[in-house]
Amino acid sequence: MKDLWDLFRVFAQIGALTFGGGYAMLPIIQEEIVNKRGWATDEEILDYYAIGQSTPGIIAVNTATFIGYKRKGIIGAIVATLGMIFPSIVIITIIAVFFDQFENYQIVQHAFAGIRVAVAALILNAIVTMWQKAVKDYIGIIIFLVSFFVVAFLDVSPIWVVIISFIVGIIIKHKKVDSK
Amino acid sequence: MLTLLKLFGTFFEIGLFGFGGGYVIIPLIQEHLVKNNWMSIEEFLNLVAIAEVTPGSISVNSATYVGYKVYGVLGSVVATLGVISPSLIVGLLIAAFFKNGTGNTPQNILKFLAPAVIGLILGSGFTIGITNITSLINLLIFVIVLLLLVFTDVNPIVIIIATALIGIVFG
Repeated sequence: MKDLWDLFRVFAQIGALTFGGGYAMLPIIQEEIVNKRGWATDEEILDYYAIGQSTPGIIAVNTATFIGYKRKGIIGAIVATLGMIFPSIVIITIIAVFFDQFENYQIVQHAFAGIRVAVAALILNAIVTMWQKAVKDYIGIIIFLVSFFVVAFLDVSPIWVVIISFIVGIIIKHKKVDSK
Repeated sequence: MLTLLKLFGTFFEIGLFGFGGGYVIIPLIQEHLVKNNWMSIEEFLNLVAIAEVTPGSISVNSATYVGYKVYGVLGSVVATLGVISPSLIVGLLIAAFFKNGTGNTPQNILKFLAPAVIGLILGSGFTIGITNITSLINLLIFVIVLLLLVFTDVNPIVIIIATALIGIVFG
């Protein structure tokens, strides 16, 4: 029971202290999980991240699931994951409650009109950051352009783009194995 | 009850197809919000900004926020459980069956998925840009913020606070 509480507490702490999720979380996870508690090694954490990136879902949640499972099996995985999301649920719900009451004030609307411009830039910046890792050859550029075009101009659901490129990835992989 | 089921189903789907997390889920969420009439694009962008300046992952924060808007506190819990369930299930399967990593298959799949995902995010950014960058001043702010983000280490939280102040002063 104490072990489960520890899992919940440590991951709640990580969830409460990290802004932005994903890679922003890595240093804190390393500090709390590897250095302080020895629940996993640096290599294991990096493996979790690699797996998290190439499987569906949220990297932070994947990491919590892996470490929770490693420590206490399925219950551990669930407890660590719930710990990780607990601060978000509390904080965001509080913000949503207040925001509902303030969003009609002129000053709040002006502030968010300004912020929305920044969010557009943040999204574009995320693309710039991901580009180097993700687009390595002309095939990558073609996939990128097709994906952008069909979603922005043809109203194709993003889900189809994910499914099709996932399947293409698997097929190409198998071809390579066959030809060896 | 039907709304709660729909919330869970929608966010389960978003969690399932959001490879890599973070900004990937923006195009996925955007589609459903518009389709279900849950939120306008402006409200959605406010949400992205809020998710950015609060602790926790963007996916979880967004799910909590949308869930609350649609169905109160219960909605926020249900939507959040929906978005994390695929990660939890896939994570458990991997942890149980592939104890020592998964070989190079995921990396290979990623080769095709990653560029597609960036295209998706740009698609979202495009729609968002068109609806919000409506004046010359906005365009100028957009370019300056983008340059700052790409070429300096400025914290996004600082950017969001600064643009909020600019919005108040010039609004």
